[in-house]
Amino acid sequence: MIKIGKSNDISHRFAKVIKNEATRNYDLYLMILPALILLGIFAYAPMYGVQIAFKDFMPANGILGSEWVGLEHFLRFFSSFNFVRIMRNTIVLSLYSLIVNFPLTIVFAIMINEVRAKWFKKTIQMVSYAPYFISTVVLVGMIQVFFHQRTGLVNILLMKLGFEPATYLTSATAFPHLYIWSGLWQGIGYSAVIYIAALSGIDPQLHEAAIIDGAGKLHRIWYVDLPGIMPTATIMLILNMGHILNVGFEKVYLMQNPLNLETSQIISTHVYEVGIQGMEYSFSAAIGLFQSIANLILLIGVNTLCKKLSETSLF
Amino acid sequence: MRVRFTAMITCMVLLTCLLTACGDSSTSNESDGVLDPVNQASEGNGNFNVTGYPIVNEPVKMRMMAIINPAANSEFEDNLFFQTMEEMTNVQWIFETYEAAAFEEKKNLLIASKSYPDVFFKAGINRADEYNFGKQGILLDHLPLAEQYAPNLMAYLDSHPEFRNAVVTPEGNLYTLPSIDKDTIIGFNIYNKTWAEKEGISKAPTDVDALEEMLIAFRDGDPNNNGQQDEIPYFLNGEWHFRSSFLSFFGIYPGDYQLMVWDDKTMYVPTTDEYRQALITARRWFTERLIDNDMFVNENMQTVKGSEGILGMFYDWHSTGTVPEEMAKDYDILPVLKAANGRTTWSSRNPAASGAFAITSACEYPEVAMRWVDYMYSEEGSILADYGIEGISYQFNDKNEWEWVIPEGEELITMRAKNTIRPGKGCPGIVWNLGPTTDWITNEVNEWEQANAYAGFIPTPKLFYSDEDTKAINTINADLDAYRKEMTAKFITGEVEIDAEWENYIATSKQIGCDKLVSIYQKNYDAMYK
Amino acid sequence: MKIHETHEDRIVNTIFYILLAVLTLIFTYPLWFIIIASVSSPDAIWGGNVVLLPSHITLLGYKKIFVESRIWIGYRNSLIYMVVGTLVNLAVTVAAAYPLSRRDFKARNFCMAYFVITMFFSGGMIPTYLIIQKLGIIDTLWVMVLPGAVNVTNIIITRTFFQNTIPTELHEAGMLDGCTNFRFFLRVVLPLSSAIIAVMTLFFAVGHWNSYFNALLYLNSRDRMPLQMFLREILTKSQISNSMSTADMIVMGEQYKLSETIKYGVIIVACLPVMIMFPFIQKHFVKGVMIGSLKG
Repeated sequence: MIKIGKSNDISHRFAKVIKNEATRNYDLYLMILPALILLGIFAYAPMYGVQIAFKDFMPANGILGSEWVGLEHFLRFFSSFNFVRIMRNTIVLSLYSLIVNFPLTIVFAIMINEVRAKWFKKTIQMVSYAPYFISTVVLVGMIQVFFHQRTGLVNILLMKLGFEPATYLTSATAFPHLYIWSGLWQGIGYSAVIYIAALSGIDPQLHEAAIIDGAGKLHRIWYVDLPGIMPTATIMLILNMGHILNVGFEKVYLMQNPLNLETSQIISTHVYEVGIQGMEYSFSAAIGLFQSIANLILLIGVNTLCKKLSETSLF
Repeated sequence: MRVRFTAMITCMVLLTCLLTACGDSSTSNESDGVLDPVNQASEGNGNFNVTGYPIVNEPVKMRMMAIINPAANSEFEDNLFFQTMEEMTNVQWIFETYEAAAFEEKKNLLIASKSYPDVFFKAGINRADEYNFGKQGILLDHLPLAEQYAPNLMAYLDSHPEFRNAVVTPEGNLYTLPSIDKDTIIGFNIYNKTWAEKEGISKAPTDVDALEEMLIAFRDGDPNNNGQQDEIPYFLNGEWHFRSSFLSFFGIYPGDYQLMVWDDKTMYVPTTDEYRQALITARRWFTERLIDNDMFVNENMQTVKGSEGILGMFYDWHSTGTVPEEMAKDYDILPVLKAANGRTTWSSRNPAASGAFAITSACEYPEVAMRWVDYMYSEEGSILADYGIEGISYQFNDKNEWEWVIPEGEELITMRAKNTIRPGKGCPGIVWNLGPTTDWITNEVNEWEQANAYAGFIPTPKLFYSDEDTKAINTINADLDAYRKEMTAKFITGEVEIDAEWENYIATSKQIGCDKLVSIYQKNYDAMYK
Repeated sequence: MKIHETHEDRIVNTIFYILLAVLTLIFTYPLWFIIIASVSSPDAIWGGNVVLLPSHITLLGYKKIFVESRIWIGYRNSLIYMVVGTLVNLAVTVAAAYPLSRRDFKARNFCMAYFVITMFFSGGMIPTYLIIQKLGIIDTLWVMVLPGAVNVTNIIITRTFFQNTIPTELHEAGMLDGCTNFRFFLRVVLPLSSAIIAVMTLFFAVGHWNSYFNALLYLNSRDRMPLQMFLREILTKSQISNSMSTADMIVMGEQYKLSETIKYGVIIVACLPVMIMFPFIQKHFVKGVMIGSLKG
């Protein structure tokens, strides 16, 4: 006799799966619930505000009451006189930053990890971590002191070595380099922390085994350390792509002067200039949205790439 | 069931778009409709006194949002001005204070979320916001209120049309109250008179050629007698000084958006022929080291170089702003030069700046607020706001000169911040001149202001623009300004040849929209003044 | 165990040590500069006279800092926000990262999508402010802690760590022993994760310490403001505008002088707590945390 009962029905099978899962892993759901609720309140509930980019926002009318203007703000941005320059500079700074920061941070973390003298290891970690806390205003002030063409330390050293002093601060070609390398200086210690933690999680037995097999240090780094932190590194890379176009405003703005505008005009400083007389809430929201979408596309792209090349990916 | 991740994302994005249906309900702390200020008062709540002090018999509390003076290490509650005002008027304020940039963000946020304060004080509300918030009813139209309750303020507006025009909209509404300062000079050109005399120049130069001779003498003559040719004849602190100090030699001065109005006609200064002349001269002086070659490098060097005793001429509000006091007596102002085009122009501002004070539609006692602020437009109120109380923060000596009273261990700047309210962002009321003082610096600044031949020149009267015009101006100006700054710097340093590139420069400026900018301004100017 | 150092190893070691020594110099010098600049006069600094030693020594900067009551109020508030905030952050983040790291967690993809979307799309300042206003937490401790409690980047990093250091065999062994998910998490996962928890503590603590924008938006009372708000006030470098009267100019000039005098000293005072915290975090980056687990 064929039993046509509940247990054969597809929807009931689905329900059973859910019930199984819920009872088996109910505590996992509970654990993730606070995060879901908090995001629901503080991230999703306000999300209707995304419309602001497509409206002509007037504070008194509220978001819903302001009129729709569609893509007006985007078109306004794309047709601005310096659009190409602004986009180019932003992309250059972000890519340059990525190419410099990402590998060097890993190299730095590996080097620190190889240090055996505990006091040296701790010292260099502390010392490289400290610059992260220097406020941008002070950092830019220091750059201006050190790189001044006549009184700056860098030029004085150059002159002592027999070279000609150079005009770093007013040169458009020098600007990206100053920006990026000072950024590396400031951030490398702090960013390396995550890799140092990951390196400390690598099983020492793997190293021991490699040594027994006669592997030299470089070999060990290549075959044990790097693979060990590759998952972390991949995730960090993908996450970095997630805000690649968001080159910060403050530092660039402070370093801008009339002679380096060629390379120092970026999206965020442009938005600031437009909005400086007031009233441009929608415009900045639109540009922000544009950056977000571009970032998202890049992130998905890099994620897909990573999925094909390795086991690790964001999703 | 494996659900593809990207499909998941698409679904969620669509879902969140649906969330746009969610309400934008806001908590409102305003009463329905726009308050009718005049009738509100005449409903007579017995508490309010139309004249005399206190303003209210029973204390009244209102919310005030203000920009602080960052030097102050004390809060508004402890400020002598507010304490005195509270005793006198019985009006109590709940203060919300921020520094300028934070204030801007917060103000916009509060207005958008409809939880803005009763009153904005020392708020530096920009013209675009002022006009918009006013039209939308967030800021009250202060004129009817002022006509009834602010005799001091009205006295100024009625007797000085230039004050009135600076703050009243083309439709005749007054959305914020002005900060009035009859002294309109922003800064002076200051030169080293001692050096000049040493080089045999007994009279201040009166035109550009004479000035050039003096600068050459500074450069070559070693007037500071230290055996080195380290003098900087003319110090300019960046592109801003080029505009403020240098251009007047050629009879132009850029006001808002680099425009200037002369004989009711608007022009875009950076493309005029005078500007080209100025650039050529600046370029020459730059190569001949008459102008500091570090001019565009960094803008922090003025006091540094000033203290080294190497500056021949610079731009500042007074010599002591740049050089130490011992050296200051060597300097004197350079009277305005005769320009080739016959015009007298100087870096001046409008005597009345709007945005200093505003009563919002959230305020339940607008007439009280209006009477409160009106005191600041009277003589006693101005003195209280600017100097404090006689005997406490300032006093007169037997020669009838006034001086600050600085307690032991304190400094002028913190004492003033604690006892007066004027320093910092534009304060409502009018700046009062208390007469001669023991401080020779203030005396000299006053003297310089009186002696100048620049008075009365306002490069661009302030206007109000429609939304459409504002957006157009913002867009054009952002790009145009960057271009102008960059090209000016390159012209002066020689990175770009003036003669070769001038036509290009004008064409590009037009392409970005300088002509459109001029026509927008002219249109609004005509509407207001013709 | 004696490790034979090959010739190659010696070269590599030497190169590493030289590089690190140079880097140490590059890092230390500017920090030393800040210390000596904090006791030098601003003019000397801009004039390039401060190189190895302070010039025109003045303790005026520090004197002014200690007199600034704003700084101490800010310090107290920042400490409170940092401690409470970090605890909340840690609890929420770690608890959310673990389920995500389990491949048998069926809602995994949904949750990831839910989280990742918020990294890119946001309603903006105004709607968020309205929600917070409705919750009634404006101007309270909670507004500094709750809205930022979930940091998706950190959840993802933590998840990655769990995925790579907690082998599934461990979990299966635990299941065989009749362990619930939660007990497994508490008894096995957490102890093995001291490194990532240390890192996250650092990230969150520093994030709270440096935070400024949330305070600006959501706090009203001056005596609840964190340190960074006051620092910005003091170090403000406002633009000169054409509408400033002479009184304003004088104030701006004085203000500028003041901020120049104290800006280096303020940096030192402001970053002391986070610098002090670091050695405690460092302790947890010790090799061989995993040794016991595989054999167990």
